[in-house]
Amino acid sequence: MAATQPVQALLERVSKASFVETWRRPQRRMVILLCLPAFLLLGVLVGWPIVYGVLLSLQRVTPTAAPGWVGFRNYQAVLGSGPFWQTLFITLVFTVLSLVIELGLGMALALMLARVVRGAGLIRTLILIPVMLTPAVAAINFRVMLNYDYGVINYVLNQVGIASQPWVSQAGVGPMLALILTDVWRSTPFFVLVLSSGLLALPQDVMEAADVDGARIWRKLFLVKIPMLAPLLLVTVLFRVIDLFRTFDIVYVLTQGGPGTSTTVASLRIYNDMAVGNFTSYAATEATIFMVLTLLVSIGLIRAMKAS
Amino acid sequence: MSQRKRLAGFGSLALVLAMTGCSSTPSGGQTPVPTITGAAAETVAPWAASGTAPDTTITICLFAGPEFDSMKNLSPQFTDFTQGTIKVEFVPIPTSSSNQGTLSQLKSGASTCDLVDQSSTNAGLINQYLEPLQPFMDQASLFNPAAYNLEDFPAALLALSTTADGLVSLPYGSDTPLLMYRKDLMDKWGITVPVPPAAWSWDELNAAIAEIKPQLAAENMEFPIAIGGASSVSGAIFALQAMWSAGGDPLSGPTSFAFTDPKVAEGLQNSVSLVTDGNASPGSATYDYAELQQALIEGRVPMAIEWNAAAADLGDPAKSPLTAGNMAYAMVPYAGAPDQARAFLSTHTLAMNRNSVNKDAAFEFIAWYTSADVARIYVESGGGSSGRTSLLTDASFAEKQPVLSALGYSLAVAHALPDSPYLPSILTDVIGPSSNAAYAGTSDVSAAVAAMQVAGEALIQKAGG
Repeated sequence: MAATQPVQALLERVSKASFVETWRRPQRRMVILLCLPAFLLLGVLVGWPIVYGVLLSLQRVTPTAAPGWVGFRNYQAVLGSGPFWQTLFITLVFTVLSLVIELGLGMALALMLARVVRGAGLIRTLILIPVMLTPAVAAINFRVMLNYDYGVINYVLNQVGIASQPWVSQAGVGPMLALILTDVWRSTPFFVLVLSSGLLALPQDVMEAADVDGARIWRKLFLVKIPMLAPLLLVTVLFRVIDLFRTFDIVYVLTQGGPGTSTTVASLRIYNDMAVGNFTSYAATEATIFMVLTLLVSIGLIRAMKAS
Repeated sequence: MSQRKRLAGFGSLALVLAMTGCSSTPSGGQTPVPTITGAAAETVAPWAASGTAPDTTITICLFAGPEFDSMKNLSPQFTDFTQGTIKVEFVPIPTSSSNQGTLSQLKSGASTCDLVDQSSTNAGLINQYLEPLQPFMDQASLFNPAAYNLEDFPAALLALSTTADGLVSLPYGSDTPLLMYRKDLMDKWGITVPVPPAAWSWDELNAAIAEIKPQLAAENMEFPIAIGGASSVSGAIFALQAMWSAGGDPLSGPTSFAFTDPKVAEGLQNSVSLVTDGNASPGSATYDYAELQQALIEGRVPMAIEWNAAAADLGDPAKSPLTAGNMAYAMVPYAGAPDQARAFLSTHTLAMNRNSVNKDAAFEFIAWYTSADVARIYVESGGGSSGRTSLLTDASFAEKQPVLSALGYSLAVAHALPDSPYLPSILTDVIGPSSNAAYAGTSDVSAAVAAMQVAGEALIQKAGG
């Protein structure tokens, strides 16, 4: 920490000075030159695709229409499209429900793990296995397990006298629950790992002080542990929200957006418009709007993080 | 164009060509081809067989899969056929993005790919970038029409290879969904399934299902038939076939739809009723190629409507002991006239990039690979099904590959496809989700076809119409 202080001080001074003034000083010039490759790399790999996407969204690029600039007409079309808003709503429902369950379950498991004295390391390693699995592979596993005719879940139900259920091919909440279940299974360990580390790092003297003050388990959790974990929680939630917003693979494999369009999330819709329909500019517009919405949510979370 | 831009353009082109290694000769398309005489002249590709072609390497960009493997395995025989003068390289395109990948290659204007795969679903997208083949077929040095026998291909197959400029591709594979059934069980139950060219009507199929149902429990089966209603291209094709089977034609033009035609709803209802009446699994709304094939392999159903490609594994005793030697194949059911055009014809054809710099050599490969002799090797090796009638009706294949005969008759009732660049999107975004909703029971058939009409109109808007 101490080693970074002079650099921070220098950067603050650099940002305040004008560029020409900065460039004249050899030490500062070196700072700029050393940072330049990273900025160029970011510009090429991150900046340009974003700019290109936005430029595409202002054009008409379809398999048949003559290409050309169309201003904000694509935005007008996308924002006026009912199915687009429907996919956003579905994405939001999937994100919020998955996040709440993963966070709750992750916290519970992390708290339980904190009480394990022997073998906690091994359990933590084992619990990480689903995270290491490719989402598509996890979805294929669940697709097989949830299969109406030969899935293990229906088999178990049959053994206890309950009729088979068409989990991912019926009206109602079944297909969405199947998606959430798959994501919860795959991603809860991420919360467990991060929150376990956070719990282990909490200062023992504060915990002991709470014990001395007679705080019971729930009061300790809600008034001591969670507030102290808040920055960590927010970072973790931020990462997961961005990840959940972009979910594509498990939906593509498990439900293909069905039944009907009841689980068509934004990424799947953008993919279909781009890769199947070749409506390049339309898909770019959807992607740009979606990126802005994700950015707004992320900024909100970052602000909350700073405030905490 | 500035000097710098021009240099950058040449630099990029040189880099692309160097990386792909596809430009060993720039002359292929330009050098006049000499007259070929002797034994080489008797082959389908005289110039290639003569060994007088300059050393050339052609590049084929093809979706990864069994078709890719078969072509790659057979390509050294082409190099031998050309006496070592024309070599073949392959660039695999991921299967999940084969249409997009092929389109991107062609649209870029690069000559990287000399040959590409033109299929039923990408034809409307890529046809404008393909080289017409007729000028090559008119040159006696390049093509021997008598040895090739173009008439061996069914008209429906050649129609999909033809644009306003004439033929732009030649077929090497064809697929359609078929009604597949366990002949051993049908014989045991005393049910006669019509042999192609005869077929069951929907009513006859339902009558047979009623007879089959009481027998299922003894065979540890729950449903008489497996059908695919997934929200996928394949699921949409099954639904479209059902609509066609009743005489409905929802894709009346490249960008106009007639989903509200009562015959469309009637046809789809025939198929959806199999699920709603309890004759097919409630899981059908998620079933695609793999699940249907698996249902037959595991002996869970005596019948399925499935793509002919599944027959290879079903006939293999190592992969499917229950079905090997016990499967028979028929055409999909109809409503109305038995010759009702209703089969979705999925083709695989070889087409030439308009920007290829090795056009003559590339054409010679097309002629050789789609010739009767190579098609026979292709079918014999189990690589796939040729579109050639002579092979589909060949008695020597009938016992080992009974699916070929049914496929041949099915080609005769293939329904025409619109020459639309939006066909992939029509299947995925317009038909797929709504037919899937009907199979899942989240909407009835009339609501589903109405939703298809709305989605179709939205697609036209999206396309800038």
